[in-house]
Amino acid sequence: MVKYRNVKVPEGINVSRHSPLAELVILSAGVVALFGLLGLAALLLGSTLGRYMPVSWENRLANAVFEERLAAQEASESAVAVEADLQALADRLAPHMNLPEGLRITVHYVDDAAVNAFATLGGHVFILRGLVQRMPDENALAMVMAHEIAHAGNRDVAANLGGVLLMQLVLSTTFGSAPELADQLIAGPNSLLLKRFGREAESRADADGLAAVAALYGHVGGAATFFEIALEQAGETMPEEGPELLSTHPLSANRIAAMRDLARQRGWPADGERTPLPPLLAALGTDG
Amino acid sequence: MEILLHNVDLLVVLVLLIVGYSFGRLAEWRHFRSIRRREDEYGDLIIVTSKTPPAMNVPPETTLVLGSAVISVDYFKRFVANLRKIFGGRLGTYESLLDRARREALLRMQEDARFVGATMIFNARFETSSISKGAKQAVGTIEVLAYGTGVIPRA
Repeated sequence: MVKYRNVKVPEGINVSRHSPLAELVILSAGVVALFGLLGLAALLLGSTLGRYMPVSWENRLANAVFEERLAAQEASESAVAVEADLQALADRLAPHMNLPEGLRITVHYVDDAAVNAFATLGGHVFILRGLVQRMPDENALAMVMAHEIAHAGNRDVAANLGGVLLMQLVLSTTFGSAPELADQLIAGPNSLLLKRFGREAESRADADGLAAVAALYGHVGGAATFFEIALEQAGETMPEEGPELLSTHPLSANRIAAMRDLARQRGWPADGERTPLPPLLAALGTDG
Repeated sequence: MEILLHNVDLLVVLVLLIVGYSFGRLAEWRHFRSIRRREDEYGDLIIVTSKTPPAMNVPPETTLVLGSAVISVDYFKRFVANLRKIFGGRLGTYESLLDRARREALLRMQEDARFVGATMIFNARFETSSISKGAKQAVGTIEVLAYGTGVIPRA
């Protein structure tokens, strides 16, 4: 007769013996690394695509974003005149700057007390009233403007936009339901890299701008004025400078030193005859 | 710490993970202890998968016996399993869960058999079904049903 019996199945055959916590840590690290690399690849690809897209595309994009809005803005007569003076300065600098074909620099004057200037898509450069008021002579203003023109010429804005857009696109597609978490985990660390690109772009724009100023005036006197003001006014009218690693711009002191070194290397005279600001721009300083 | 305060979703996930892990671990440890104790207790109630009952001098009475267990994954297990799905491999956190459910279903079937006076179960089978199927955000829940024919010997 058949003998039946139940045999106890030894533990651990149907269940893997491993620590679930260790599994969590390893898998999480893997996911963060995987999507971090994916985000990084998107960032690099996007910024390369942005930097090398045809100028005509960038112009079309800028038209779509800005031109209508800018045209609708009503500017006072004096602001228009100031803008014309600023545009004239840009037009004198541009030939010394090796700009890509088809890129036209358009200067906009903004009636705002902040000491700032910036370049955006399509060669649009914005100069704020606060900046012009602080500039003692045209040489100082020309350096800031040449720096911004260099950003446009180097396609830095398009590169930055392309990189960030593509990275956000990839991350929001993969992390559809948790975009903020993705931002913290992946875009956060990558933004350090973005800032590093930013600092490199700033240094390049400084060098290109300085070259243009040296070509226009025959010397680099007054070129460091903006950064000297930034150092002096840190925490007052200008933001306090944090550690360079966390900043999109190199520290002002480092930029002044780098510009001095570059001028010495290239043999540009450190100073010379300063050109006064055009009367309209100089007048801004007195009523401020 | 600041990153947590600014990110309530992240905080909620962390709390759920901790709760899921600690309570899940405790429940699992207790359940396995109870399973092992009862497996010893019911060890003499034979379960076989053959379709026909053994030959006996007096034909026995037979009846359906069954035991069913419904289990749900905890947040921690599901989280780890979701991560695991990206890379592939053994879903270790689910294995222990299903092992518990199968053994629990067998034990309940044996309990049923003992209740009706059966000394043996033949033609034993398992059925599993997911009762959360289709519901996208639902927590995974599964039923394991063990059934067979209980043999009640007659004097």
